[in-house]
Amino acid sequence: MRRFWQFGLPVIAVACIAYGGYVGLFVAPPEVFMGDVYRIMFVHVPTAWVAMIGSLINFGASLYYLFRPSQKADALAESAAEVGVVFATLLLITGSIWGRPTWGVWWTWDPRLTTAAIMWLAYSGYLALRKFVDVPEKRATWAAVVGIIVFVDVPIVWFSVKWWNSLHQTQSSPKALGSEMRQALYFNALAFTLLFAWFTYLRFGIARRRQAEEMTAPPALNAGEAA
Amino acid sequence: MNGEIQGGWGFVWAAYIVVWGGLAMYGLSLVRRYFAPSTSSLPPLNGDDEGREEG
Repeated sequence: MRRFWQFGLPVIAVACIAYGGYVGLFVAPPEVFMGDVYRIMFVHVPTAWVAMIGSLINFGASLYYLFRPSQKADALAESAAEVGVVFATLLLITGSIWGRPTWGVWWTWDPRLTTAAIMWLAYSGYLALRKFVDVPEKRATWAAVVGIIVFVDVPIVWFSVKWWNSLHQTQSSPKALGSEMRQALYFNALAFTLLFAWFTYLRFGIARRRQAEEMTAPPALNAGEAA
Repeated sequence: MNGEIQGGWGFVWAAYIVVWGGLAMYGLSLVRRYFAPSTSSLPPLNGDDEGREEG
């Protein structure tokens, strides 16, 4: 099983990303109003989807940690947050690139864009907090509390296009897309999810090793309390 | 093409290159860190360390 996660999954994920890119760029037909620019959707929407999954896993693991402290839960929360921030960064960049030809601006303080930027900042702050606290138990507890608090923004991001008057379009229903576009979008969402799973697996392993090293480190290295 | 926005392939390629390039760089950094030799004498990674889980 470990072999699959280390070597099988990345091969499948990269192959799916490559095929998804081919379908999104060359197979799906142009959109009526946006022409070819809409093809950015096939990377923009999956990055949003995966960033949301990262937030959800971080929230669940943080909640679990507070009720039943576990190093694995803490490592999973850290891993999902970091990988989620990477995808959220790509989400903001691709959204900006898409905004320029369709809205005429790289950035605007629209509700969806603003709440998404706040989400990115909040999770970046969460990761920064983890770097600043040296004592493992204290770091895990504080991070779990912050992980739960910052998750509040995630449903706000999701519903922002419905609650407020937004330039950003509302969530499309599957019926709003042609079958080729829908299949391309679903396939890319699957490909990005597989890549997210692999990244999180690797990052989880790195976090677990750091925990093991902290447990075996000389006391002086873990003496943040005494300072 | 009947679109209001003509062309735009430059934006499309820019977005895909940013995404693929960003993911490739992050993925490589993870692989490098994951397979880096550990400074700990303990075996590191996923799933083989049940016995070290705290209560």
